[in-house]
Amino acid sequence: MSPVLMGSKQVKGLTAEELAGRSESLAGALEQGDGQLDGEHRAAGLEVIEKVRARTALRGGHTVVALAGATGSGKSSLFNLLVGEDVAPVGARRPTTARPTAAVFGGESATELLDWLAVGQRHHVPAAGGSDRDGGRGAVPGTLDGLVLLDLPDFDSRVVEHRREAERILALVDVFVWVTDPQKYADARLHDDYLRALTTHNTVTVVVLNQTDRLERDAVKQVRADLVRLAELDGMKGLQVLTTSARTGEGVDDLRLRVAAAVAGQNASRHRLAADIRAVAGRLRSDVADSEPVLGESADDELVDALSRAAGIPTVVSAVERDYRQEALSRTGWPFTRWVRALRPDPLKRLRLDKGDKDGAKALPGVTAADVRSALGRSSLPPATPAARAAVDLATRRVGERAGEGLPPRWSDAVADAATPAGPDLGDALDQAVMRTPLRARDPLWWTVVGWAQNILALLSVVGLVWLVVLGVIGWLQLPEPGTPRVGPLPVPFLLLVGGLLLGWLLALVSRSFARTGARRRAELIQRRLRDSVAGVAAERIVAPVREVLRRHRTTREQLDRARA
Amino acid sequence: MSGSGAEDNVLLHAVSALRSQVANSTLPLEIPQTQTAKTHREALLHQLDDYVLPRLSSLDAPLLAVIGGSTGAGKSTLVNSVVDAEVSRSGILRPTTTTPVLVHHPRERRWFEGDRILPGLSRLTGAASGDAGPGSVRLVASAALPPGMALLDAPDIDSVVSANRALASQLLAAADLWLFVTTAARYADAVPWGLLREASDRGTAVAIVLDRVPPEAMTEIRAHLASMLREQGLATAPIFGIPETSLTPEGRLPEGAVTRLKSWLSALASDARARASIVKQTLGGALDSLDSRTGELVEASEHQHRAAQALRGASEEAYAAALEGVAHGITDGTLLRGEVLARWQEFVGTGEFFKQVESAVARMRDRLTAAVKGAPAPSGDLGEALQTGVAALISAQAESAATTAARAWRSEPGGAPLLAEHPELAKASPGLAQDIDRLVRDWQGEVLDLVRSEGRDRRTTARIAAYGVNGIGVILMLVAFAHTGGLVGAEVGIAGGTAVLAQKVLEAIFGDQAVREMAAKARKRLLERVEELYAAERARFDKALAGVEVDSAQATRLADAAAAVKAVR
Repeated sequence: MSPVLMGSKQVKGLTAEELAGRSESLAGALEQGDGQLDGEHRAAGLEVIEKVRARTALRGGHTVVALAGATGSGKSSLFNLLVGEDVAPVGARRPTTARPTAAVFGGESATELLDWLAVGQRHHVPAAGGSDRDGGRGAVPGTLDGLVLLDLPDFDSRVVEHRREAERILALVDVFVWVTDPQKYADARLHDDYLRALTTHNTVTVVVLNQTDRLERDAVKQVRADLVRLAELDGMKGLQVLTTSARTGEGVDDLRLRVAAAVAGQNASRHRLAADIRAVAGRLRSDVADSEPVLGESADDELVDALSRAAGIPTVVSAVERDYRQEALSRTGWPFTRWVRALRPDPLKRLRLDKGDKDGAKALPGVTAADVRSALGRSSLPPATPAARAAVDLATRRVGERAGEGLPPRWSDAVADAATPAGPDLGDALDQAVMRTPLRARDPLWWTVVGWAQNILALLSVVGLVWLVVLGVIGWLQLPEPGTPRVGPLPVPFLLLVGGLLLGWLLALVSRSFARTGARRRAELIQRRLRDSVAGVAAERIVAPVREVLRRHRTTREQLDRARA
Repeated sequence: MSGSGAEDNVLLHAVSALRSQVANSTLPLEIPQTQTAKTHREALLHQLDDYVLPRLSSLDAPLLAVIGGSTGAGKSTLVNSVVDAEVSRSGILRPTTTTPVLVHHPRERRWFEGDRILPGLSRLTGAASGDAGPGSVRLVASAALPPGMALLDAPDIDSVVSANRALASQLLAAADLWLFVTTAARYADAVPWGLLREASDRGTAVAIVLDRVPPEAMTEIRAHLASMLREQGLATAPIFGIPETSLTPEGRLPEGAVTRLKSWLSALASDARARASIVKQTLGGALDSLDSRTGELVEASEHQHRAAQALRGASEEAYAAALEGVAHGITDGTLLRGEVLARWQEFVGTGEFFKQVESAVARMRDRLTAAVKGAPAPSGDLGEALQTGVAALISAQAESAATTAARAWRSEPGGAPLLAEHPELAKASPGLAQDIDRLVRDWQGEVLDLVRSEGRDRRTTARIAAYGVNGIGVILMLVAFAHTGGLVGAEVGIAGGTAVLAQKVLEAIFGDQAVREMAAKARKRLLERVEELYAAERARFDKALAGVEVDSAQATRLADAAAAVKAVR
């Protein structure tokens, strides 16, 4: 796993593509979660993305290793040992190192990299230099060519500038070598401020316990074990702790091997950047929940009810019902009183929700009432009352609450905002939905049948009347009375007149109750249609935006998880 | 300190009063500054209890020198070497000391065994067997220590164990004299310098022990440290250098290494005037610092008060806006839109109006229901539409007020934790719907009463009876809500017509002046009821706030107590 472990077999490669993929995932998460992620976390995320871009754009396969640590732990001494020359000043006065010093191993130019790091003091170690020149130390396996070794100022110095400089460079290096000593290994600053904050970077971290010459051999083991224990408490798993003594040179070769392994693997920089992405994605992950509430495709009844009321559907439905009744009565009523109804206003017309084809087509051939409606674009339905609007508010808010349950506040606010569309859009959409819904249904067959029956009965009664009148005239003129056919004791003309009138009146009564039932059925049908339209609006204007927020949340979460993988 | 006993008594009294004010002060609201202020309050209280009060009440008690410093600086080894006995455990694993050890002369036990100083720590005696943790202090008597002086081996100031750090700063605040131990590797660390800066600001007497110095670098480091101390305003602090040497088999420093320190300590112990001057310096510094430190607490109390006010203001504003919304909603005529308008048209247009008004059957039914139920029955669809309209308006405004207030709280400092504690605040209270229904019913009852009493006065009872009390009541409500301000287009005509027609009917019965008065009265009564309801809703926020609110007088009391101390200094 770790590039600082010896043996390249153990080094699981992290390709540039994988790193780019994670960086893209992080960028995607930031884009999707924009506005709902913590501002600081987001800024940190953007910084990391920029860092990945800048670092991967640099040419050359250099690996940047930083020696960081407390004042007086011996960073500079170790640095000089690794370089093989006294480059960094070593002294008893604290703090010693004010500016970072870089040593570039091998022939390849690292100017671009060092400019990026903004390290001014540079020292070049010629190719394969370290081990050859330093023959006294014996042949050292592994070459350090391609290494940029940095000696950092103390991170616990009382000089604030030193601390800042150290922190600036620590954000950019590939491998951390924390140098500490038996006096300082339990310092809060090392553990609380650095190791704990860099737990995601355990694969590119080495801790060196220096100055072991000050302790007995057994004591070194004890202290090392204690340091490992403290690091584990910090959350650093599998941390590598080396023991060295810059004074006697003990353990320095081991450190050199680790560093050489990191250089040979050539992917420490990618591991570090991946760890950065992991760390920042981990922090961003706290801004999203582990799962989203499940939301059905369609809107729920309460919401549709509220929207229906706001859209004036009860008014429309009752108009439809009355219209049906009126129409039915005018078609099936007693022919002698039908004309009275024609004087009443058409309830649907009053709402400018005409029934479509028939009347409009009559008025202007080829132009239907539906065309007129869509040209005018608005019904004359009364606008929603504050009460109806309030009911919509309430219902949408409840949808938002349910959908935002268990999400972090920023997300649940976003869901609530998505569920309560502001402005007149919703009202418009509802109006359009009502207007698009056909209010017309097939005229029932019984209207025709009853209408004909009424006409026949009316005709019969007229025939009876005429017959009777004729008979009366004949009687008055004292003409010979023609034989009048009789059914039982009653004459046929009388039967025709009275029966026609009576039956017509009865039929009108029966049709009236039929019309009531039919009107109720029609009203129910239209109400269903209108409700479906309104449910469509709810799904489109309320449920869909909410689902969109939830989808963004899911994408953000998934992208972050991918970036952390 | 040089003053008479009576003056000291006055001072002691003032400091005790300040102490009890600090102890009584609370910072319950979690605003960003609170955590720091709480830490300050704890530290202040500790220093008053551990040092200022005991020192004021017994100026002649032995000098307490607290040995503090970084982890691994060799504090315990130093104490052991000074008293030449294993009194404090030393070791290579950091941090070593977690239980502080107080070493005193055998005859001066009485000063330390009670809770005169460090009342928060329990006393342990006997050998340093196990570690009892940071909640206690181990008392060890040693004749090697001169009388008049006690040493306290404190835990480290900078290790990973945070309890140690807290205890160490508490103990340092209880010291007459800091014996600050640092090493060649550490003397430029940021943490100890932070503490030294504080000591310098407070005027605490400090002596530095520079331990583990490589002999060859002694001169250089000493000089450097001395210059750093000068920069910090601690030029008078003596520096005792101890070279890095191997320890004796008992784990002590060799005799020669600590001689200077030992002789300085015993000289100080035996010189009552030198002791008194150190006590005076440290105690004076501590007393001087009380003013500014109490000031911080005063400021924190004010912050708390202001934050609570802001929160209260946010909820008040939200409900005031809601009441305003209701007032607007019922007076701008929009309540007559939509369903009510449709019902009214139906009522008038289909002839139902005349049918209902004139029909003797309807009249009888109205009277019967009123008589049987003893309560007004909603007068048909129109009355119902009005009722649901008003109820929905009130409830929507209440809901949105709750949401607005909760959102405001979330963004105000201190509001978010309160909301997390009372998540129900973000919604209107659960029984609100019923309350509103009852409110509207009660109001309608009141409107009917208004009609009845107005009718009796004007002897128009017969005419009212002809229309039915309920019918008149509904018409009155209509008139109350009818102002055509918010309507558009053709609606103005219709709604205006509604109002005009309704008004005509009423005027015919009561006269126009009376109608205007009745409508205004009906509106006013409704708003009063709504205001009452919203006040109850808002009280939930106030109640949540009451649990964490700071008494506004707390800041004044603290400032007064601090000023009193300053006055008698």
